[in-house]
Amino acid sequence: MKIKITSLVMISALIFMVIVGVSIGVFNQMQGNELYEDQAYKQLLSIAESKVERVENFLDNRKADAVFLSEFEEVRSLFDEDLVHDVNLMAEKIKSISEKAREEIEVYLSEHPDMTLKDLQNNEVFQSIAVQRVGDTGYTFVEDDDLLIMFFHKDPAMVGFDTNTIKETLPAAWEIASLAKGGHEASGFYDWVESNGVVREKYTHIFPIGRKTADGVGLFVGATTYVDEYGGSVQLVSDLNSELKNFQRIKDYSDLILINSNGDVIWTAKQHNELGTNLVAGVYNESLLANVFNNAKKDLSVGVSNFEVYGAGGELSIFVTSPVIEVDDVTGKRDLLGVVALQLNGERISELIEADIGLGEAGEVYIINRARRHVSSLKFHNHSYEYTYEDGEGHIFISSEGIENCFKDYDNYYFSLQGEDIDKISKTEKYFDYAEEPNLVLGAHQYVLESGWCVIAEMDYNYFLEGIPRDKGLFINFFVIFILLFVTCLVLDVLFKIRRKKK
Amino acid sequence: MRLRTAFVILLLLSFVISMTWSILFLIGSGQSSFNHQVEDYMISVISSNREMIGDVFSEVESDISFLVKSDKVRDILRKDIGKSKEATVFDVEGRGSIVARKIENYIMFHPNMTMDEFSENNEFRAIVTEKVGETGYVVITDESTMVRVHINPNMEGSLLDDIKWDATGFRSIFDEAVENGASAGFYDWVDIEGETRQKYAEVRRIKVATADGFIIYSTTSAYLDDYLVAQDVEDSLNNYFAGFDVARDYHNILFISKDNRIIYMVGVEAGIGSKLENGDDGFGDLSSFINNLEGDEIDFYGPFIGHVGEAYLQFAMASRVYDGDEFLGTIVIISDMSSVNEILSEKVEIQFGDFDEDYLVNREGLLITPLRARNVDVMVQEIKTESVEHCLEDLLKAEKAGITAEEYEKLEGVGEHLISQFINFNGDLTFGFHRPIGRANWCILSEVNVQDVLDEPMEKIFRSQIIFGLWLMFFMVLLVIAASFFIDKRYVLENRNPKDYFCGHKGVWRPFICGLIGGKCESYPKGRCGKATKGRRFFMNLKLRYYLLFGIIFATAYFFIMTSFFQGWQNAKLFDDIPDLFVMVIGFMIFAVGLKIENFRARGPIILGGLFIVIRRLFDIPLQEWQEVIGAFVGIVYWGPVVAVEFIGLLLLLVGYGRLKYD
Repeated sequence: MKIKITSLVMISALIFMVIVGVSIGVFNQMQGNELYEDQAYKQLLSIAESKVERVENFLDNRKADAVFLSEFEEVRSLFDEDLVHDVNLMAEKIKSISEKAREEIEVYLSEHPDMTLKDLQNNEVFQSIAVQRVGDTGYTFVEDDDLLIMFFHKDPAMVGFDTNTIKETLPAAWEIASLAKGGHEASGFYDWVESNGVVREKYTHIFPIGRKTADGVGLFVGATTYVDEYGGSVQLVSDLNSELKNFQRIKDYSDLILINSNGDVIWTAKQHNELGTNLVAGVYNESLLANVFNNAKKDLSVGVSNFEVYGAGGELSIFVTSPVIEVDDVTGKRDLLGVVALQLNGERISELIEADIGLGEAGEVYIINRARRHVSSLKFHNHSYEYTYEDGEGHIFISSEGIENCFKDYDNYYFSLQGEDIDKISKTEKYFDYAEEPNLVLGAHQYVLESGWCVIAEMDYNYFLEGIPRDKGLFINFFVIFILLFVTCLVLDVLFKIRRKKK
Repeated sequence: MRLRTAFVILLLLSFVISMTWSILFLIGSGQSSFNHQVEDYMISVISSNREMIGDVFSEVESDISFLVKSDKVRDILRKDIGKSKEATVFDVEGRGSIVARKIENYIMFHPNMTMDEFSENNEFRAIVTEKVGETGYVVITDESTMVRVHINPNMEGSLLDDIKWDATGFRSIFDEAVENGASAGFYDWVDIEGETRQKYAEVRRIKVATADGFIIYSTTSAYLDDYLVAQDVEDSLNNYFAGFDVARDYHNILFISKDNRIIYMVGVEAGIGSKLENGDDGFGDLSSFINNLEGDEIDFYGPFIGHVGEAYLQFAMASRVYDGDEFLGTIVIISDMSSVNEILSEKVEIQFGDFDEDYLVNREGLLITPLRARNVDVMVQEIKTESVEHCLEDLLKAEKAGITAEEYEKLEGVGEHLISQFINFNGDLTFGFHRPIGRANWCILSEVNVQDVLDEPMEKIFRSQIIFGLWLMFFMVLLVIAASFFIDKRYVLENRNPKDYFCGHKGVWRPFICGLIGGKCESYPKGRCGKATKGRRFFMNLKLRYYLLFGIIFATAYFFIMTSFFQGWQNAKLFDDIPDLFVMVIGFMIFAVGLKIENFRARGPIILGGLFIVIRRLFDIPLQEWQEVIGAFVGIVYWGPVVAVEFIGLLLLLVGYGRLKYD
């Protein structure tokens, strides 16, 4: 086998350079990325921590607002006032519910123009639209707008009932129905005889439905409820009324709600549906507001609720509450006069965690509550994801390794306080995010102790890699060295040949 | 040169160049990427601090917005304005105590000055002749009632007796002060126009005497007419605003009338009832700020130095209050800078250290938050760094463009211009980061030592690359030896004429060593190299003492050169380095002796053994120096390959001397 020395040198040098290049490249990849990752994690953790601090400061300020209001003398004195039944307020509520049902029915009929009355009666979706709950005992119903025959009612026995038959026995009720006959709006109070013979006052508001069924039946929808179901509210003097409404509006709260110690919602800035209801026994007794009231009553301390869906609009809300307490000078006993509740939506929280630094295409900072619902807006929001699931009402929940680790870390905090052994959870890790097509991200988490939220800061891993040195430059350099070496060998070879010839 | 030698040299050369180049390349590109990453991180930290300061301002702004629309604020601003004895007493006594303290301090710091010298000293006069209320002032008298310093110099030198003061009721106040050290009270005073108006005076005996033994008294007095406040403010309103103030932890909330008079304060302090134009009222230049307010805008002012004794600087936000189109007055929220200081006082951990300094400067480049490393006065110390200059330029450009500094920053793009490098007061190379805070016309700045954030991390990278390089070198040396042996045997020796190039194919060392010393392999198969060329024989015949001399010179030079890369020879680790240098010389001598050994089989291992011992010591000295620099033990991963080289060298020596004995 004949091999020139030059070739030998070149082959050997090439092998050596490849070995050196690959070794250093692999080593650098393993060791180098680690250092850069450490730095990226530090940055992400710092972002998460600073956002947590901002959120905590923000919540502290909201608590200060609630405390200020709860110590405001004029607000305190409201809880001692007698409640008054505001008929107009109740009538407005019934009207708005009836109107909303009308709109929904019209939308449904326009989308299903081929459905006859029979079809509609057999359709569960339409049933649920036509018969809706109103307050604790009220409901909506749908009748023929000409013959006054009941088609949809809470009590199945009432379906087919002819309203004309009550003309003599319940004339007020009949009169309202007859006013609505032929497609007119009507409303009013009427007496209703209970099955046990007790007569109770009710109020109804009827709206005609603008579309007929496929078989040409005209309808109207009414909302009705017992008048005594609605508790009272307080009438504020105009100065205080405007002061509190200003406070709510200017400080950008969704609502400001005053609840007395019995759980009666006695005043709200926005006059939401819960006004006049009782949070202990009424229809909202399982709502987020009832929950925060019960907590404030139990703890007698300033609190921040979970971030949950609240109200008819399904808005994610948080309540900041402060109890209004009267302290007995002699015994020192603390009695609850009422609770001031400030309602906030997620937009304000989202603004706090906006990051104006580069985190890459898939990178973002967001807040998740314990139910895995996003408190702040998300980058990948309007999709269904592998790691994402929806509840029955269409609310999106998200999850990822980073999110789960954050809540484990949060739980660990309390377990460690109780002296339990815990597995330490790293605050930073590399994982796939919650998106439909999960992105590999570098993530860091920090929890907001009081609210139980997690702030997650994620950096797109591809973006991260773009920023660190790659080895392709190294091999280009090797190629150049190799060429130089090759030229050197050629020159040497020629020199040797010349020398040999001379000899 | 023989081709075989060229082969070995080129092979080793390719390896050394590849390894050095790749390590340098990776360190170079790594440094630039790492710098960028660190800069990103630090910008994000400074941005977070700016956001949090912005949150503080937003809260105050939201409170001002609420108060401007509050009927309760309008109630106060609509109240009748009337004289207030409480406000007069509060203000006169407050200012009187401050002036007395200033005078005492001044006299204490000038123990050799006489009374006359004080009277003529402008600094002293400036302390004394400050206005109180609208028309009040401070007078300095001695015990003989002679006026020493007065706002009207014509009055100086006269006796209070000359102005028939005893008739006014002031006499009794002064006499009580002479007796008890201090006194105060209302009295009637006939002013220049001949009108009798009620005044309030506070007289204090200054606790420190002048150098010539004068005991002096400061009399602070003001007309009751100068203090006008909102009358008949209900308790419910007082409680309401007090509650608001407490919930927010503000320093104060001021209600300013249309004519710039502080008619109501939530927390009563000096200045209540006075007009803001009255100069040193503890609110800076608040009056100009308020006069420049327009419409219902909310504007920012500050920081300013509050009343004497306040621990923090203060800032204010204000807005005009209207009822419909009617202008009622101005509401001002004053907040301490403590909340801002707190944000900046939290040390942010970076990769290998902390931010050295995070601070704010105002529009004039004056420091407005305390520094960590130095005790420097705020609102006094001007900061002149490249960062500050860039930031103030940005503020100016934004103002010229009629946009906020944040908007300007977005237009320009957040990037390189936020970072600058300069030498700090310690002479350390420092990274400076800045971002403007448009709302307040401030700049937020962070400084970090380059050594902490870049050099140390890069040292870590460098260190790991060196470790890897050392091990790689060790294995590659073995590989080169094995490869040359393999190539020699398998290809070269079988395909070339051995008589021309090599000494034979028996024995590992013979061809290599013969090549090394240049001798021809004439004596094959006896195991001896042939006669070396003339030039190379020179080295073989060179006397050992010359080798010794050369070895010492080389070792000494190497020591000085190598230590200059670390802490210099003066600070070298001498007790470790000197034995190494000795061993290095001994290794060199073994190499030289090896050259002279006739027995070829013994000569090769001995020469290489000597060389390996020298190599080990060559690495030893820089490693030891480095260990000294970092102040910690350099781990086995560094020493391992170096010690292994020496171990191989010792083994070779054993083999070589063994052969010498039995041949």
